[in-house]
Amino acid sequence: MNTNGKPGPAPSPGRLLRLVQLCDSALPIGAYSHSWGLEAVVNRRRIRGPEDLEAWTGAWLSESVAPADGLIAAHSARLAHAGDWASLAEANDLLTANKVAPTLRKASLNPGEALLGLASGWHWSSRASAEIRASGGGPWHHSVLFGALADSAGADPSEALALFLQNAAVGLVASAVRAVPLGHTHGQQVLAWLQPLMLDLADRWAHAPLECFGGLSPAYEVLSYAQSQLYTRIFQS
Amino acid sequence: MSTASTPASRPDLLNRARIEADPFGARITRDDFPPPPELAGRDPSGAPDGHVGGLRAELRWRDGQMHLGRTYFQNPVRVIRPLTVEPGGPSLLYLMNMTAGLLDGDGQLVYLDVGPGVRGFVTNQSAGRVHPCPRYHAASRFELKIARDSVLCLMPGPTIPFVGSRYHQKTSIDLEPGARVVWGDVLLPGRTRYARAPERFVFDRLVQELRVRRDGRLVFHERFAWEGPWDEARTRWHFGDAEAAASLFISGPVAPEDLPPLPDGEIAVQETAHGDTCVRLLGRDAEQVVAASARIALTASARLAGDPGTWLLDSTGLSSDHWFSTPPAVVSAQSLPD
Repeated sequence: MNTNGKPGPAPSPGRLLRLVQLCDSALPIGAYSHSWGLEAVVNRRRIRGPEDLEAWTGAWLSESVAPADGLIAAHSARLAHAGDWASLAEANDLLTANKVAPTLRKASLNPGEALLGLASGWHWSSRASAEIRASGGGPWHHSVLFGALADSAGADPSEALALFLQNAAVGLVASAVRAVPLGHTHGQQVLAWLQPLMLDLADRWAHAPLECFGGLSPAYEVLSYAQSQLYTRIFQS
Repeated sequence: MSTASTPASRPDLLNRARIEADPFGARITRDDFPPPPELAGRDPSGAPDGHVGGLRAELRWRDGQMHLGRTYFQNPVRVIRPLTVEPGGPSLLYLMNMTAGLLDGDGQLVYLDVGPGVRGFVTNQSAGRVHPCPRYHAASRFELKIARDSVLCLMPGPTIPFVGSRYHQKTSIDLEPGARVVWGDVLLPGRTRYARAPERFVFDRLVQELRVRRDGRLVFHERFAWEGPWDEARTRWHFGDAEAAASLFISGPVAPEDLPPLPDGEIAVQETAHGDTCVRLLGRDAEQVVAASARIALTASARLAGDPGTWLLDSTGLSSDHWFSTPPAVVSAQSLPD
């Protein structure tokens, strides 16, 4: 079953293994060096414990990630399934034009290119990776690659989006564990609390038209800029 | 019966053909305002045709000033001859809405074809008040085509969404190589000083999108679709503790010394992937945010045009009571020592 309760792709251990590999937080794509603006929030003492972190991450996922990178991840899964690599490159260009904050752009492009490099060597994703490279687009954003590779792994767009949101939340919580700091137990508790929200967001955004792409939040962009101006910082974004 | 053969749609098809043949001679119709998916259920197609208007105009540079070329305007939007305050300086073009703002079902289109070498500031005469929309939504659409060696600054004026308002603003800017633009939006929370019932982020829906293409290539995109009314958490996410937000797109760099102080506020200046600049301002004092965003926009315009100082704001030939003027209280606040 997919996130909206309708029949999804048939369950298979191979499909699950591929998706687990794609979502592994230990993938060497550099995600651990980003906080997506959270470091500035912590610096302003607005996140002091797990409840604050859950609220901030929930708002981040709902208002900024799902309508932008999330929608693109689902869209990319659909385009990859159709073999429409030219449109995938256009979606990537749209993200490039949309990501204003250089730090957030870097937090999207560096892991994207690294993931493409890794996936080129995996048997189940090498064909899609070669098609993406051959399309002439790039540099590639993480959400575009994630969606396209989730399709190669056997996920439908709704599952691709739910997993992308989970992947984003895991990255943010991992940065909070180091920056706040929080215990790992609290971090995992926050992720569990957020699961119903992520499923709701996947239902809402998986089939939204590309016309709806965009999750501008002025305060979040100002925070991302403020993070880049911190006197000392431990994250790139 | 197919949609194309219904009596209601035939004039629209004819009108579209007329627009293609002569963009400055055809009526502005509901077809010019396709609703975004978020407002599809509030399509104002049933609202009176008189709610739709706008301007299509050519802006041309001749004899050291901006002139209107072919021009078509339709109530309630009017335009007057561009004003040149100082010889050799930029021209000012006012777009005037003859009503109290944007009402339920209103649609206003501004299409500007800017010729080579133009240097101008285009703006509305006041803030844009978006009134409550019990049935439909209100829409503004800006389409700019800017030719080489031109510098156009367009700030529609602050948007004030009233309680229950629904508003869609869509802007498309096409730049020829060598064309420059400064686009600025200011968003206020509502009628915060409305004596009967002060309003703060109690709109129903705001959808705003901006796309900039240079030589056909998409170089900037931003969009939001905010659903109101906002609770404290959502307000904090989008506005922090600010009472006003402004966004500027500038097709070039912004020097740090060109940024005015913004007491009780923050300014983020970020270079986009294609070498342009996006400036975001957030502040607790709306007057300060409006003044600072206008100053940044008009200073950047001067830089892009190779002009000294700031366009219009410091001119002795222009009165200081325009919405974009720097109010005396702001001038004195900016002069205070840190």
